Amino acid sequence: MNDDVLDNLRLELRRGCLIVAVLAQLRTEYYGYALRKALADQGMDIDENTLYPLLRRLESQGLLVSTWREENKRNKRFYRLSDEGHAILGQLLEEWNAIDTTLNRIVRDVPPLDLAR
Amino acid sequence: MDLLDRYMSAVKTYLPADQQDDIGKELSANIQSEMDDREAALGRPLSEAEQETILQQHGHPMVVAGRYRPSQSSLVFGRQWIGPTLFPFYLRTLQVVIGISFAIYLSVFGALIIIGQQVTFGGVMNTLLLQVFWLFASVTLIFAAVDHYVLPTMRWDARKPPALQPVMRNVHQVPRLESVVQIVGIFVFLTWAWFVVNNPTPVFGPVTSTYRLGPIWQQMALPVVLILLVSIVQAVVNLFRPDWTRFQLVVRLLTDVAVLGILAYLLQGDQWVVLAHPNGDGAAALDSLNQYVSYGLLIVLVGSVFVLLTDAWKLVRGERRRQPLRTAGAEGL
Repeated sequence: MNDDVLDNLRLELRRGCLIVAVLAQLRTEYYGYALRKALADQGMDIDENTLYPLLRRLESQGLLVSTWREENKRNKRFYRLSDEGHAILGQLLEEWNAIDTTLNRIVRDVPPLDLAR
Repeated sequence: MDLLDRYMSAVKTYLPADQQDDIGKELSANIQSEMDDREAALGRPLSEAEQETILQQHGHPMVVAGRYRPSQSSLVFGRQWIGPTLFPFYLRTLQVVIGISFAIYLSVFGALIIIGQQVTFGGVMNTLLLQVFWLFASVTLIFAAVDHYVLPTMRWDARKPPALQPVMRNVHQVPRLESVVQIVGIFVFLTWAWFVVNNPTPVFGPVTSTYRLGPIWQQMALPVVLILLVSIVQAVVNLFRPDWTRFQLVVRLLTDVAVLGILAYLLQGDQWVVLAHPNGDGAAALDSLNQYVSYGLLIVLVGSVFVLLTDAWKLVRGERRRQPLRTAGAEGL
């Protein structure tokens, strides 16, 4: 039961972070699989069934733009941040920094053992 | 057709028609890149088993396609009961069974009010709310059980022939949503009917102590159950073979004819509703009530003839379309 609760909470925590990570990574152009690898290399593993549909949703919201291009003799859809996406990313990062600062202030004086309890 | 093509064919059957090619091309390119990457790391081509492992890691085609739906709604009460993959099927099933149920109740209560029976608003609401609760609970439990016990164990069968061959791509398919709604809807109706045979409250609501169903309905119980079981078998077959449109239409035509036979037999009777207690209340209105039931049966009969003609037309139209494909070598059942 506790594992279920923890899994749900981790999922909720990660959901918003994933979008920020994807938008930030797409300041450089990537296609789906390459983006997944790039994020994994930096410690942000994303399931392919989450990432690929997410890219299409972010594009439909106007935050990404995509083009089909040939690379290594294969046609691939490359995504990058749109102008609107850049603006939104900036605001999200501000929000993220504010949350990070607040959270650190709240948990700063709590010893790690108490946190694990 | 290699493994990836077969996998993508299976995924596409679960995607909306207008997005099949676009999503299919993109997903296929991503999986192909993953395979290329693995080959580069190993320094050799991937075996079929290794390709299958990668595809299985992506998940069952229905689950993969489900993630591309615009709405990722799910049913959550404390925990998730029905996830986004099955949620659209669940919602459509609820709409259909509750819609049909309401149509039946409004007809019954309308007839009771017209013949002057004392039907209170509270009595009607009690019956309707009980019915909605029962339908909601049974449909939810069925889908929650499938979501938790069946969906996680579903694996893509790489050895099964693909449902869609390239030449068949433009052939009409039976939507899987339709098959699922049909299976669950009939199952719920069967359990409801079984309950009604023992306790007519869900049919007569506030006048249950006055009337009950006549014996002619019990005579028709077995044929109705058989027709519904045949329909369930057809829906299960089409769930796994959505391209078997001819099979669906032929079975439907047979069941349409059987339904007409049952309605014709029912219309020969005149005591569809009888008094719950001889000499009890409601005797004066009984003839009027049976008159309205006969009108209702006639309306259903006309509707059934229309359904039969529509299905027959679809079968003829499908046969005409199939002719050019046959010459191209495709033989869809």
